[in-house]
Amino acid sequence: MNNISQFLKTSAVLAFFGLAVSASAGISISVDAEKLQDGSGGAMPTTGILLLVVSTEDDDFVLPTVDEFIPASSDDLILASWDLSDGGGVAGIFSGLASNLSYESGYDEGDPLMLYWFPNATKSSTGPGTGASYGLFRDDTGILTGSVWELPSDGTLLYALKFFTEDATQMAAGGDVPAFAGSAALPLGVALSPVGAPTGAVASNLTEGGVNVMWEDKANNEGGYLVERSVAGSGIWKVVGTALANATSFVDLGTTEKTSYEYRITAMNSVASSTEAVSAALLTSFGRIANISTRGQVLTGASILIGGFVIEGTEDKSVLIRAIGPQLGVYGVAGALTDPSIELYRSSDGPTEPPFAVNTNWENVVYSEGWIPLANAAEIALLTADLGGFPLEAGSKDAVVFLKLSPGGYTAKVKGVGGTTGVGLVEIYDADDAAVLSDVINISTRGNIGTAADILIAGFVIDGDRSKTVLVRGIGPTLGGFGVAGTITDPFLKIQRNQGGTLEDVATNDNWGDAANAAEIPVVSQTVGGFPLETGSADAAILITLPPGIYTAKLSGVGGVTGNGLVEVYRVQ
Amino acid sequence: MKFRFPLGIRLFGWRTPVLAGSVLTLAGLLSPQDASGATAVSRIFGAVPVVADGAADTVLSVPLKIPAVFRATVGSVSESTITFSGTPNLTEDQFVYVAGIQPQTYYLFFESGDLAGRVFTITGNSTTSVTLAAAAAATADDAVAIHPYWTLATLFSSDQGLASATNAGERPIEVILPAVESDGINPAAEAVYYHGDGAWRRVGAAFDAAFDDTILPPDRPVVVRMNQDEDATLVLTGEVTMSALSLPVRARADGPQDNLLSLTRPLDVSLDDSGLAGSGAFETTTDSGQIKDRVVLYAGGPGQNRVPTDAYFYLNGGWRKEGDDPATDHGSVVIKAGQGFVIRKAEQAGDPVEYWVNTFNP
Repeated sequence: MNNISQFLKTSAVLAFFGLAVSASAGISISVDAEKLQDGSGGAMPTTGILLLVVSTEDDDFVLPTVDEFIPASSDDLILASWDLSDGGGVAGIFSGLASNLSYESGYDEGDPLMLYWFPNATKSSTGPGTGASYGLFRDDTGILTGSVWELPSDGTLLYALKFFTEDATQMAAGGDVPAFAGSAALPLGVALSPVGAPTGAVASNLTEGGVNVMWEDKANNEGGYLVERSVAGSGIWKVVGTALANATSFVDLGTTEKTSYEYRITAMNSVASSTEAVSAALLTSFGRIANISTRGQVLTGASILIGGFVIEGTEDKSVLIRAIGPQLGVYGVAGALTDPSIELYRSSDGPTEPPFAVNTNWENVVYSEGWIPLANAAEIALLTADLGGFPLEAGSKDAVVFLKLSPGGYTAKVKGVGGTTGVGLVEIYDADDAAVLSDVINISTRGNIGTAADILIAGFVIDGDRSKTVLVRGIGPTLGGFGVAGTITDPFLKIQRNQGGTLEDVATNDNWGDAANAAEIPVVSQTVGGFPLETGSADAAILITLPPGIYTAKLSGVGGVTGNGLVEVYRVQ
Repeated sequence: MKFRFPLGIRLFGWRTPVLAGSVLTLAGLLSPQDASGATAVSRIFGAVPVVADGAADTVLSVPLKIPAVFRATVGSVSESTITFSGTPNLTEDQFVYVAGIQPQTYYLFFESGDLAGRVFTITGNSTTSVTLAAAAAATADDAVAIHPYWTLATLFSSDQGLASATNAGERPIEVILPAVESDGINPAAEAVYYHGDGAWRRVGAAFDAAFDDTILPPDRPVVVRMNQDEDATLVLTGEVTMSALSLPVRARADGPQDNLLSLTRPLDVSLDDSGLAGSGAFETTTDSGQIKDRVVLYAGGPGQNRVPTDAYFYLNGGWRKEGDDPATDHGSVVIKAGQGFVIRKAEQAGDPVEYWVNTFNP
């Protein structure tokens, strides 16, 4: 039977033995730990004992008994012993150095290491004692601590073992080791059996953001679960969190939109881990404005319908743009434009540059720069159906362009051929798969706001499975400050959601300064690139988070006033 | 003997009355007291930048000394007590370390005589003498100087801009003292220090205990471990040692023995110029199949826990590289200024300790 003093002496003897005859190198190991607990979950007192133990032969550890910290019959050896009453002085944390160990003392490179702590033991203890509990930890993979807990190669100057649980605050600002691993609640004489591996990992997107990971609990002795995430195919795993024993789910809020992830679940206790559950790759949730449109009066001169939109991202974006007139008439819109044309301009081009794409008849497309060569009439019809747009009748004079555009700002001008006027609709569809790393983030349409059916109406579709925050602005007075003549003096903005063909009011605003979140509107406007609204102006704005769906933003005049106005829809996040 | 100036080294002053402004400042600050009470002549002061690579270990040899605070000649010797010639006018116990009051530990350095280059820690002093930690077989008229040891706080001062640990367990930079007295090769860490909460701390000690005054012997390198990815540049300044250096080199009967050493020189020293060959401290090889003593240098490159790998031995009048053609001369290979190195002694009966005397003659 050995007491701690004897253990300390044993270690010293081992070290001395190594120093006395060694022709080999030495190794030193530093150990930093937090948060070590006692058997009740409190911080480990400053009077306990820690042992760094190596299994020399069988790579397995024989657990403490009432009488022996390390059973003498085992092949386990104490590399270092620390009596916390000798120093440190802060409950729950430890830092120590096992210096200049020699491989001529019976252990070798690759032998596994274990840290034991006995909160109630003292230097004079001959063993843990009846009723004592203890804690132990090792990291056999290095996933949790950054170092594999086994002896390094001979001659290693300093090998660092870090044991920081997630509730560490002093030695580290939180660690990856589950908090339970710091507990010293293990009873003596109870063998630790292998931990059962979880199965059936499934990951799914949450509408409110993040990923929900679920698995089946197959263990009855786990201390908790470790959840890791990997960008699919990268093979690089990152710990994203832990879950308590018997848990079957975890929410990961640290994901990036439009990224494919895999999740790996590991059941753990203080000495063993078991991993089987790996989820299938999941494309993380996203929200995008898949379609935006504006209906309004198409007049002449400054009162044509002008739609601006912005593509943000790193990849080119396929967009379908339509200028609808005759087809509106088919749907019963009075005074529809009979022969619309569409002209597309880049914001980066000079004001005298001609449009880089023009169309007056969707069945008679002419390929030019940026056109995607699938756009014959039949293919456009199929594409339109696929994107959810209403069909255009054969022989109609509606206009369409289908292009792949680089990120940037664009303007689509809708005019009546030959100076004709009437109600028109301009639509912009995101025609790409959601995985494309670019989005249409904004549409702004300037037009004439009349009354009744002649008000300015913007539509947008939030696609995906995640809510998006949008800023919708209806601007009149501030627009006048930019030199636009005849602006509407008091616009009124209403957002409606299309629920199975029925429009339900979602939000309204008359003057943006009266909104409950008015203080946020200037900040967000600046963030998304919108020009500032004049303080106290009668312009309208709504900043709101909306679930996926089809929406309409209607811009009318308070009391029936009319004039030129601008309706804008920005994707905020 | 040739010395090569490493890139970036700057030496100030050379016993000249015409000094640049910065040098004047240094000279004024650092003029040591001497036994006659007169101001001593200017010494050479220098600055050596050493880059500690991120995520790597740098085996740092401090190339310069803290300037001497006292110079004299030996008047008489009685075991470990050295009495100085002239009128030293020392203050009793002025060289005695007192925690929190007198934070420096001093050593007596022999600049001439049989002990030239040797270092003795001072444990006490009277107005005319010093008491050393060990007996010194000095003789009258030996020139001596008293220097403060470098410490963690003075070598790695806040001026160096090294990162401090926010949390005691996440240390961006560690200073490791190897167990240089241990037997065998590739000694491991004996003590690990880090800077945190306004002072130097030691791993394994009480978290609030300060180790700012830990001394760094001039003949022993320290390892600067960068756990951070970013490099750091240490600008080491001080007095150039003009006299000989005398470094103890030991062997063991039971096996090879590493002597991890530091040359207090601000210049690269080639193997040819080192003075090792032919010194009593280094056994030359007569058969390339049975190499005796080696000089082992740390190869460049990143990484922690590096061990010295490039081994050189002396055979047939020239320096040879282990693993290379023994006819190839490697005498121009240098021990870099600011970098520690190893003399790996072959087994030798009697566990002898010999002194390697390196002279300075640029």
